[in-house]
Amino acid sequence: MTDSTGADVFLSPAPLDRDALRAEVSDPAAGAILLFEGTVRDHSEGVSGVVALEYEAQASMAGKIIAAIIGETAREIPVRKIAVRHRLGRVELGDPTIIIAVSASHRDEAYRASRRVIDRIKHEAPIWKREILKDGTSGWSKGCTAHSAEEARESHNEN
Amino acid sequence: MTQTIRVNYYAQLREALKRDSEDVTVALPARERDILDRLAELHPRQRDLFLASRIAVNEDYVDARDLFNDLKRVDVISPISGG
Repeated sequence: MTDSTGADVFLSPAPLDRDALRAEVSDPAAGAILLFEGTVRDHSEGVSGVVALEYEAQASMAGKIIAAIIGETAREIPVRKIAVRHRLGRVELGDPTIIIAVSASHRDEAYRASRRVIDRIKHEAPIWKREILKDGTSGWSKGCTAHSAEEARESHNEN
Repeated sequence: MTQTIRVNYYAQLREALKRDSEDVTVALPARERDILDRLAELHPRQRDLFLASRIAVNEDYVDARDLFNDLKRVDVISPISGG
């Protein structure tokens, strides 16, 4: 599994490279490689005309949390490797905001691990997005109150 | 006892308060809610946002039950929206 820590590993101001993430989790023992890609959509709850998102983070804390989420998920679910990249800065409509790559011996573990990682990132990592609308206005996405890692583990326990 | 702590703001709170940090005097010992109440008292227009926020110390979310006798710096994590 990926054991690197630090914001620069998991947070990227540059466009995300899905081929690179796939290569990162490539493993001869893997019978499944799953790529989850979150993308910019043209609306959110009660908001239409979104043309871009702008992300910012408490980067060092987000990096530490994403590293912990990857490590804990790999201990809880038998996967081969997990790789994560989350965008910072402006991301245009349709472009990826996050890619999670998981390799595992079987598809079930890959799906479960991918879901666990995205759910926990959304509830724990201090990352914020601003919605840029086509009329030029913008506003912060409503978001959710961050959980502690312990609370998130309880709320995302799949068993 | 009171102590002056450095408070860091991000995203919507940084924008609303027009600053990315400030020094705030708080009464110790204090729990997370005491610190958020103190910040809401200083910035009443952002009260709802503060009360929906979490506090991080040393880049870890604190437990609501944690009691702090000594604090140098906190990060205020307003509602997050990554992914």
